[in-house]
Amino acid sequence: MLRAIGHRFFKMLQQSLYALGFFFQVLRESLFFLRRQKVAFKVLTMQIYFTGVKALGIITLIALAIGAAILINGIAVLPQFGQGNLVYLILITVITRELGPVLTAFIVIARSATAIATELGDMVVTHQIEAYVSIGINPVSYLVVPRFLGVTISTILLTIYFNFIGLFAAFFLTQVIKPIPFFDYFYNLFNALKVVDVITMIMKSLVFGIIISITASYYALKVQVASTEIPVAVIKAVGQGFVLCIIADVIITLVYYI
Amino acid sequence: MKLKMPIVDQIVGLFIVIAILALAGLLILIGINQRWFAKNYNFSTRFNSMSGLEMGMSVTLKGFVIGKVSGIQMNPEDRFVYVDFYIYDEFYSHVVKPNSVIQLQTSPLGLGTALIFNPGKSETNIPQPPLAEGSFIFSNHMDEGKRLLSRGMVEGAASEDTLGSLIASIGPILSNLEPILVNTNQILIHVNDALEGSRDTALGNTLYNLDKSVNEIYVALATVNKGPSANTSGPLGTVLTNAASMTDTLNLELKRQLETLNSTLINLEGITANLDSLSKDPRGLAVKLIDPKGSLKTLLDDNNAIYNDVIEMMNSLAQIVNELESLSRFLTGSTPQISGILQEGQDVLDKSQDVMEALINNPLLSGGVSEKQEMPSTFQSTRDEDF
Repeated sequence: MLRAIGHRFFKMLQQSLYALGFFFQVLRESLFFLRRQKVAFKVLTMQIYFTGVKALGIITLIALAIGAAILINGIAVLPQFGQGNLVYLILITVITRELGPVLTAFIVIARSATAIATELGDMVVTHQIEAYVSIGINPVSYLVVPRFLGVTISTILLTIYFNFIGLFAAFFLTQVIKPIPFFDYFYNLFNALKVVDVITMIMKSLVFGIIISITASYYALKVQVASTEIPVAVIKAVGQGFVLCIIADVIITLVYYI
Repeated sequence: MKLKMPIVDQIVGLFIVIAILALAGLLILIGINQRWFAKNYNFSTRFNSMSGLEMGMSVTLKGFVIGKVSGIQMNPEDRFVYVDFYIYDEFYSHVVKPNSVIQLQTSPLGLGTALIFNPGKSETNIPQPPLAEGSFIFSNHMDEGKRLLSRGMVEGAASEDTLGSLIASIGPILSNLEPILVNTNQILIHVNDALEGSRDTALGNTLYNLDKSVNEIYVALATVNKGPSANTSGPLGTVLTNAASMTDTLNLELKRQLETLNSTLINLEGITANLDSLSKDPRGLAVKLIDPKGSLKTLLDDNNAIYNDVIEMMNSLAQIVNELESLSRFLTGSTPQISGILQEGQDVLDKSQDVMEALINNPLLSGGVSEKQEMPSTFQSTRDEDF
């Protein structure tokens, strides 16, 4: 039993080191991305389009719903305790610092991580990766890096949109149900919003984007020969993506409060 | 529908540009609202404690934010808390005047604290220039600040509300309550020990002595009931014995005086009877007075019967007066003794009252639980019947 545990531990360590090596290779190739040919830019553009622009609808819907719900409930309940201004703090904590980046990451995982894992896994099964290698093209440079950059940039941009929609558009939606003076709302909101909140938001979305794209690419490229391995890779990419995003969220939040 | 690449590029470009502009706009709005680009004037003050103070805390004037706390540090030498704060430029020239005081107010309901700036008033009604940047401003924790506040040298000095001061006074009361509860607990432990029969504690000893005293009182009372020859040990027994002997003496003297008085009254009764018989026939009296044989001479020549009666009466009265005088002397002579007896009685009563008060105040002994009379129910259902 101890032998099995030890074997499992070393296997996990080996895989982790391999994944870390893959991550650093992606990072290194990303530094040279600007020197790549136009094809890589097209892949990046398409990745941002599919991951970012196409997800804007669902992001808008969720941000609007959460922002309006917090605003309406906060304005209805908190003034009863003489703490009406707390609604802005709650809004920023939920939308900007915590739920905004996490929900955006979950949507990106659900939409794009699955797509990347399936696409790259299929390319491995159909020997397209071997074809790239055979003609001297690094598959990481031309397949993984644009996806890595595209997903990371899209996650950051989507989080920014999530915040804007959650903080601003929710205000206009709330006006229909429970009017709030425009000036009061934005004055108090910008008083409560700190630069560190914005930095935390950007940091989280950056880390989440990196985790999502690297995890999806890593599990996709681990597919070997059978097409039945693709769904397994997708499941692993999604599961690991969720877990690592939550762990990263906790760590960044801890750093924020420390 | 498959999009052409240039359109995708434009959409993605727009998507990125809008996001970047939004982020930049957000940061600019935060900067404007949080006065990144405005000038602030720095000042400092001093408080006794950091309690309620925090970095970035607002400095308010009539509820409006006019500045922020920028630094808090404690000087280890004098152990005072020095606070740096700044005032916004739009308020500086109008607000930061000489005699200004900064007040730290803490809500007793736990609703936070407020740092209130009170602009100083001029004593001469001549407008004064604002304090120079970096000046030290007195706080309400400092004697100078308190003096300025009490002299009314500041504008809009906020006084503590009644509820606030009331709730603030709860703290000391609660802190005082703790030792009381500890003492009560100890008392209860002692009472418990005493009731368990232990004589190690003061209350145990007191109860033992009380029991002993009650027994002695019972003995003394029994002695009093039996007579002076019985056991007269103890203070109350002595007092009661003295009182009994005094009472006996008084009884004897009074009896003798009453006998004398009784004989006098009998004489007076005879005189009254004679006068009465005379008064029944006034005409007869007048005739007798007019008649030489029944005249006043006759009256006066009655072998001095009336005269003797009067003399006897006067003698009796003199004797009564003498007796009363001797009684009075006796009573006067006995006054210190009576006074001593009364004093002793008073002391004993005081001690008894203390003991009784202690018993009444003792929640475990006072009155006990009154017996409850079992009241049978007048209503009897069929279930109550014996089968």
